[in-house]
Amino acid sequence: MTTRPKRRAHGVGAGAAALAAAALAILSLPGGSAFAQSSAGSTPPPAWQNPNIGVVVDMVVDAHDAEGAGAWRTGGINMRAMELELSSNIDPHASLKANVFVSPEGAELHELYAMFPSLPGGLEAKAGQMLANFGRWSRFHPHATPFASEPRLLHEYAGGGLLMTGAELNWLLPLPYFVQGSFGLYNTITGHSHDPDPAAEGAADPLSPAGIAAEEGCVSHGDHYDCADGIYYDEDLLALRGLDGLDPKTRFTNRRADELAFGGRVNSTVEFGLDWSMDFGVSGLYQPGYKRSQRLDGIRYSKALAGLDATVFWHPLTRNKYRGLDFGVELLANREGYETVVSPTVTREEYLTRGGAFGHVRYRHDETWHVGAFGEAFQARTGDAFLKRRGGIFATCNITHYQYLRLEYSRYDHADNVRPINRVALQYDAVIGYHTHGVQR
Amino acid sequence: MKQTKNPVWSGSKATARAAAVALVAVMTIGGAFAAKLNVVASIPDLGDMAREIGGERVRVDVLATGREDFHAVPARPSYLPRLNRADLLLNLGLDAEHAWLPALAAEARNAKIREGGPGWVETYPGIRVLDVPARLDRSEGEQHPRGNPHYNVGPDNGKPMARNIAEAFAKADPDGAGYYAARRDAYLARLEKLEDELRARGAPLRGLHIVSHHPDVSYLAAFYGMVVEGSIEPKPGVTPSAGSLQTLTNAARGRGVRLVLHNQAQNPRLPEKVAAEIGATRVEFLNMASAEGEARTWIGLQRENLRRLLAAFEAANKSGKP
Repeated sequence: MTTRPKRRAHGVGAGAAALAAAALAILSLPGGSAFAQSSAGSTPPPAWQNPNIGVVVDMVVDAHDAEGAGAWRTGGINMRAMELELSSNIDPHASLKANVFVSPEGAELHELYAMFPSLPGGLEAKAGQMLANFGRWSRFHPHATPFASEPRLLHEYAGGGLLMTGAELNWLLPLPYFVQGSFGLYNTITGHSHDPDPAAEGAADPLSPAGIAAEEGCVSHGDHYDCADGIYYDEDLLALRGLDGLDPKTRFTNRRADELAFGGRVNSTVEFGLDWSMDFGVSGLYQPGYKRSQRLDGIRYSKALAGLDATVFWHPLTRNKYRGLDFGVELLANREGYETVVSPTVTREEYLTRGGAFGHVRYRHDETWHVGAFGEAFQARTGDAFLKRRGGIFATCNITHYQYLRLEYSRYDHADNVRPINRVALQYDAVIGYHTHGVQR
Repeated sequence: MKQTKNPVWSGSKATARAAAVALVAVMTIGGAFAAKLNVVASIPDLGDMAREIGGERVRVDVLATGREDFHAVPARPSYLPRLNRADLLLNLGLDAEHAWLPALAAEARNAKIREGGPGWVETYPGIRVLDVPARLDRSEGEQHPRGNPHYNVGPDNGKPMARNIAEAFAKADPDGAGYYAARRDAYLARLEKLEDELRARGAPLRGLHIVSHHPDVSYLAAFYGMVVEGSIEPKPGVTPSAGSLQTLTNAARGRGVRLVLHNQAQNPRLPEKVAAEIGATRVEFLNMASAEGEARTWIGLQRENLRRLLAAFEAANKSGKP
């Protein structure tokens, strides 16, 4: 890698690593108190004051032919996530959840939020950094989806799952059936990914951030790249080649109120008899000042994301442990402003509205085997509205409830006049300790 | 001076009168509802006992239908509004419902019924818990870290369950303490008779060697004096391997196992195969009360399970199986 100024230390890496080490050290201390009683009414467990601890390992080995037909390449074992999760009640009113991702590049704070689960009037509040309550798949941890790869639809329009800092208020409406409304206020719209995209790395324009990142051996990680000597953003990579990004910039501090993002979601469920049900929801996110012009003061460009999702579940109650089916579709639309330089003194703002859909089906044949397929089609976020298409099949072997192996094949038609990329991925996941995704299904 | 009737005022008065009547009606209906204790039960067994003990002072809602594996009831969002209104959440405890109920209770926006809250009521205290693991480690399986939670199928466990429910009702509704105590005592007397009846009718099962799919028959076997020779699952919740099945069938043949039991939510294919290999009879029992038929009540569940065991035992005898 060429020498470059180290513009930033690794985000929260060093701090989070220290936090994780400190947390582990504290957790290893014996707890206990004479007055505490376990729920069994016997002696208190020795670590009763400790938080719940869980570790999830998510590894993927993949091979793809992004460099040409028959030229299969692999990145080796990708430790997508070693997720250390700590959670506990703070007091009778609130709980805290922290999620630290550890990878060969360092540690990164993934989620850290306080939750107030029982506010009056059916309200629940969350504040901190969290996977935002938007759409269906954006809220899933990578190890919890039924497929190995992340939907490229989310990569295209949001940079991955919407991991955002802010506050959310969720309201369970006082109705006899389930309807939940959410409102969130966030620093900015930002996504997060743990699934490097061979299409972005292998076939990107060598003078684009993705192309430069591929040449430099950097790994895409949400809105930035993890490189050997730290985090690099698009403009950092472009600067390495003496280039100036034409896009206005999305990162800034000391925000104005109109540079914050806000959004919401309304979701519900309907049941058709005992075995069939459907979850559905509508989501929206809007940030008036998503980007600032780098050339003209006071010019801002907005971004809006809108989503619609529905998932049907067949859980035959008598056989729910070993038989099941779910299928669904998520529609996503993105409207975003861009700055076009007409002349050295004239710029033109342009708004592009693009959209697409992701669908999946999964069948659970028995306690061990799940099989399924997915497909997605969406327009390119920028430039020509090329329709990107991807489809795949997967089979999961649940060795036990706590570990699985998954084999996935996908084919991705990601750019005009470029042959589609075939990819085979083998995923291994295991969990130890305490780990829960609430009522997510 | 003749007063003219102001049509507007007259209309307003009529509206006000109607509103007052509606308000009184709402308050009356609301008051009637408010007077009742809202009880949600995780499984039908506890719902039935809650109705027996709570009578007219409680409104009972049951989450599981009785068809499911109660370790893995699908956690539907529709449960949340029901839990949101609950004063008490009755559950078996001992981590029986750990995979779904605590998460639902945590998201129901109801501090009363969250795990450890005043309305979270586990019904196992007073029961002699069987199969308590000597070592807590996931290598021992996934589901019974605090001992076997399937005590609801043990006919002699009904009394402590009923006492715990009555105690929780009296605590949540002190005005009804006497009412609950009287109904509890009447129910306990019925359970006493039931135990005697089942012991007498189930005498032929004493000493019978059995195998189960999941370790959920310990309390049932203990009551009838049956001998559990093992489980198809090598550890709770762990799918058997070919090797573990071979070990089980070899041991079962040597010990004269007559019945292979599995519950209503398990795939009968494997128990059928094991039963065929060892020359035993497969029998499906119910590990919780069901939504319909004889086993709608907890007492009915006990009778139905005995009926199925005796029928399978007789069938095994007639078929000449060892």
